[in-house]
Amino acid sequence: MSKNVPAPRSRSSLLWKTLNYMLRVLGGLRFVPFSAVFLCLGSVVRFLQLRYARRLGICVKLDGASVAMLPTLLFTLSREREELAYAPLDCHFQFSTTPDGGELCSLFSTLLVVTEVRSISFYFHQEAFIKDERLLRSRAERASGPAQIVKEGGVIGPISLQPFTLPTAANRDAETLLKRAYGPAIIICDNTASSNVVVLMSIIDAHPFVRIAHLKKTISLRKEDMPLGQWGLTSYDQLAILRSSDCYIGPLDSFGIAATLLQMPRIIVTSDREDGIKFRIEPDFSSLVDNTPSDSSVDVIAYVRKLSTAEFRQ
Amino acid sequence: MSSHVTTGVYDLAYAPYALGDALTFCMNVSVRAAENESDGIDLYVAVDPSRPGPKFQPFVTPHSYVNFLDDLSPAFFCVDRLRSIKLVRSRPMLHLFLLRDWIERRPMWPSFINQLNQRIDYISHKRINAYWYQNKSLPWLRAPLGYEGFARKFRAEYCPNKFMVAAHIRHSAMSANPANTYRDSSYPEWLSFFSRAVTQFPDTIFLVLGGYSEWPRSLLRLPNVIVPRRLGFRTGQELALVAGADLFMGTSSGFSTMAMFCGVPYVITKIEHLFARYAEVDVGARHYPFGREDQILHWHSEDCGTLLLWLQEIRQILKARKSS
Repeated sequence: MSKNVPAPRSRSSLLWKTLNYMLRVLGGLRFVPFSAVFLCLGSVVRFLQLRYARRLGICVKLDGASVAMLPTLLFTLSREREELAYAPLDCHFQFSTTPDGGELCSLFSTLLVVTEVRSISFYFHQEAFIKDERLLRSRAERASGPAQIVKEGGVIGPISLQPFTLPTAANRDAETLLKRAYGPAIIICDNTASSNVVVLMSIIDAHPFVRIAHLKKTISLRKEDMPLGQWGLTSYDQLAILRSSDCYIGPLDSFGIAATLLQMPRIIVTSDREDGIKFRIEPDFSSLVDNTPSDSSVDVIAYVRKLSTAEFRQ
Repeated sequence: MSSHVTTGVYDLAYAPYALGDALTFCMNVSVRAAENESDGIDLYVAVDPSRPGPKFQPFVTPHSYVNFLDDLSPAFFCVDRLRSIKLVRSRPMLHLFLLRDWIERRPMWPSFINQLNQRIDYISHKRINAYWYQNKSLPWLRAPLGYEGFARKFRAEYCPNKFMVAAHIRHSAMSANPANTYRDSSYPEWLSFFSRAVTQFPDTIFLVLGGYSEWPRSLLRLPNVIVPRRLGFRTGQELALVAGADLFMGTSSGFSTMAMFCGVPYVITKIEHLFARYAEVDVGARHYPFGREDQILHWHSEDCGTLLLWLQEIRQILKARKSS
């Protein structure tokens, strides 16, 4: 049997641990003068660390409709990540009006899974934002040029998109669930509003073997589909199910963005009203910046057929 | 130079991923801010992705911490007068902010020295009680930012003209990471209570909160029970429902902490006796120092009969208060 051999410890690690231990002991004894010395030394070290840290500050100012900003933000993040060779990112959001709680949590959850995002800040008071921005900008200018300000409607160019990292348990559970429930069937992840059934119905009529995972609906269109809205899933569980499915249909919200970042086949619905459905089909990113949406559900059926003709024959 | 902004730091290197502890932290920060008459509160939540959890929570790993953090985050939005909240995944960056705040002599919770020593008091009510004794009021927590009107909308849609009771029955044995299962409540007693309430209190609706895996399937057969998680809602909305409910009933847990610190009437059961000294009350005390007559503590296991009695008692108190 093999024995567990402890990993060798580096000298700096031991030194740091010793210092840390001493600091704790001194703190416990309320021996303030020595604690102060260590505090000063620690501050110097931390300033040096900051001086040489690669940093990019991205500041986003939001007014009201914050989720509408999410696509711009994430695409910009991806672009900047590529240009700066995966430098860590700091995202700051200033809200001039009280945001909707759902939007706030959605924004937080989505950014949390982007590994390179080093900090997420929400400001509800202008003064706090200005003060922090000043501090971070001075750091950013020293390290890697001026901090970039991203505003709504910023230019989006063709970029290389990177997937995000979800918790492993969420990925595992989603994959297992879909395997057990549907086996090899084609699964479409539906994120459309309850009132909007036209596009989905046209897909179901053309391809009855397709299975649909409704991300938010509590009632499914058919008994063989999954109403995930009443399953009590976390946003990461839902994102993992999206990742394990074959196609996305819905608006360009955080799930739409996820589908885009994962380079999944997707149908972006731009209106949730049944009488005014507009959508665009996105096999690649270039069509996303094209603002000429298709207006016929025939296009959707043709697209789904093209998506995986072989599998639909089962 | 003194500052009118208070800083709160919840460093997950030594603070737990626990809803109740995070809410107690928020309350302590609010009290610190009230003591110093601060205009606003800046919160920092710090996590090191390579070692994301404290030593006593080894199940929090770099591959799972995002899930725990996402579930915990709405708690930090419950602080009143919140100016900003920052999640920092880089220790040097956190130190930069803290150093600035320290130089500006901002009031902090925990104190700067305690942060250096990685110490935080996330359990005790010492400071909260002291503030209560001095001022006879507390800076209560509120529904998470952005969810202020959620409970009202929920009530209008799902239980109009009903007495809305938020309930949480701790059942950690059924969760993904079971811990301290001796603190769990008995589900059969609660199921029996809900069943009998159908006839005895027909105008009462119970909202059962908490993890999706923690409640039994038979709960769904009861006509007077709604499970918000089945409607697609999560921790943020659940906290808002606690703050907006007519009454909270449940086991000592994160949701009971929310009820305790947002001023709604409550019945909290199965409180750990060890906790008495942190709350500065005797084991068996009926109220916390800052508790009202409709805010009841129970230090033992609950049963159907006592739950019914409490519901009746609190409803009478509320009725009398309303008529007076």
